[in-house]
Amino acid sequence: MALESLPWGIYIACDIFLGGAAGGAFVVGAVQDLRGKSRQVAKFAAFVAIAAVVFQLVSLFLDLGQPLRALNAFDRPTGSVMSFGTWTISAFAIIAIVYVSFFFARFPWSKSNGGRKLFAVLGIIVGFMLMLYTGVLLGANFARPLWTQALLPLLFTASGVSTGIALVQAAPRLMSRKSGPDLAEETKGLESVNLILLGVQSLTVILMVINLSNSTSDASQSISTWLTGYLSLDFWAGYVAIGLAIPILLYVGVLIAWRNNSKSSALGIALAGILIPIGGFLLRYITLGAGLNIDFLQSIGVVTQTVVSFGPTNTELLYTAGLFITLAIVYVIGAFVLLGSRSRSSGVTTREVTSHDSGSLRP
Amino acid sequence: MTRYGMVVDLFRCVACNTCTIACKTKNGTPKGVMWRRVVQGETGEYPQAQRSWASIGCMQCQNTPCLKVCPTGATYIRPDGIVLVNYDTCIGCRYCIAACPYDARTYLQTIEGYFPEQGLTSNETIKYAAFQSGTVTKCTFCSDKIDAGVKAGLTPGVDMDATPACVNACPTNALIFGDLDDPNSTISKTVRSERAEQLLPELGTNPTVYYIPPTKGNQVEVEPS
Repeated sequence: MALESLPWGIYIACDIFLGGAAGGAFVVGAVQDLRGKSRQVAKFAAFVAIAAVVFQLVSLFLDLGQPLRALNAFDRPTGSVMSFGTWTISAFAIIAIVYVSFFFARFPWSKSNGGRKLFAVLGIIVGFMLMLYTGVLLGANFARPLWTQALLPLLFTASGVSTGIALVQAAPRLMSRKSGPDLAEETKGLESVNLILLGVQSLTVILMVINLSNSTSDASQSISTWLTGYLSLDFWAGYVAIGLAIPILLYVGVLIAWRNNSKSSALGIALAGILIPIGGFLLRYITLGAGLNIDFLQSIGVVTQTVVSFGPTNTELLYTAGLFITLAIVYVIGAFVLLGSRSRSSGVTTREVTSHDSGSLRP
Repeated sequence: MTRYGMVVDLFRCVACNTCTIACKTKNGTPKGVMWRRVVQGETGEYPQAQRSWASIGCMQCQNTPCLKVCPTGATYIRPDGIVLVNYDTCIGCRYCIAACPYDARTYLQTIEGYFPEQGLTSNETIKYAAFQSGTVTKCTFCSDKIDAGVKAGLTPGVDMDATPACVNACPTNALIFGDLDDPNSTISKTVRSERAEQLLPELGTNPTVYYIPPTKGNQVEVEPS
């Protein structure tokens, strides 16, 4: 028997998606920084991470039944995974903000390269913890066969880094310029990494489907909601096509067919930058929707009917749409401010942004 | 030590839902909340079709999954084994609902009356004062009744004034309540003699609610000739 209504809905889907996106974006930017690549890209990546983590906290807050008591999760720490998560999210947000402050000359510590790199390393560690946390959070519910899959935190982490690359690469690639550091050149190579990550995700999903289909009846029931059940459209058209197959084709196109055509490859990467986050969000959503309880009365010979209701209400849909539109606007503004204009601290010479970078930027 | 538990004898249960109503009357749970309820279903195809049902509620696990995931410590377990929620510290994150393998917990989003056109009735006004919207609720084994009864020198499971409402109300005596740590209590004897089972024992939650399967009577003993 399944729950009459599943405990978590679209707010938590937003929460764990944005956690993955924030962690992923920061890790990608900070790794580029540590590798000695453009600091502008690292600054933009950290900005994306901060925007995502702020909206993650907003989603989390709105999901609570008693939001005003949210501080209880801080001042009454328990052994709960969620207690660990609240501290991880807060630590991540603080580290990301401190890291970004190193890029602004008005802060006296902005000259310290060592300090910046220290916070980059700290942020990478906590960023990975944040991405893994979103999977471990579900895994602690040991009566739910899909959520307890050991591969789930890895799938979420792969999806998080993949989303991070998609977001960090899209705007700089569109805003590449001839004078100053070539931002397109600075983010080159990430598409190959993302291709590998998309491959890892596909493999993980295939393994999970095989694992669960050949497991107990409860497990195969929960995975059948993806394959043929009420989440099949979200799974096949949403995650598999939009989130995996089309981005893989786009990246293959970027790497092989459009290698010498910078305009096509920039558009391909920008399109992947829109599709991968959408797929990542739908992955979280269908995972929450397939978290069915196991049949606890079966062992004593009692069979009851499965009743599940899972689906967003109008308020939740409105919130999600508003969230994504707001994030898209924040992303575009951030791209223009941080990448398009002359940066005070780095003193990079820039020129006007090219014509094809307007409108098509969306996280 | 005391460890309160319950046996649900599904061989005796007739799915009359008297336990459901007795619980709602005693605890005054708001609309949509049923701490104890009877779930039903059908299985098989004609001519082997069968109905099956079970009275379910919180299993009062001694290795408590909902307690482990609670980020604020709002869920706690008493020394006598009863798992309770402190509504004043619950933040309504619903992690416990996700963790519970037995669907025992209910999220109380808003407190509504059963007769929305006339507001809360006087009974609802009194009973609902104990609840808070935006928190998670669950069966308490009528812990207030047990505490008052024990204070008055009564024995839970024996004296009605110290026994959960659903157990008192059951017309077929399908529910048995008492102290599992007392080897001479009715419940301990029943668990032993009827081989009552815990649900999902493989999860290691160690519930104090035991079930006697409905198929008990179908097992035909073949006497050696």
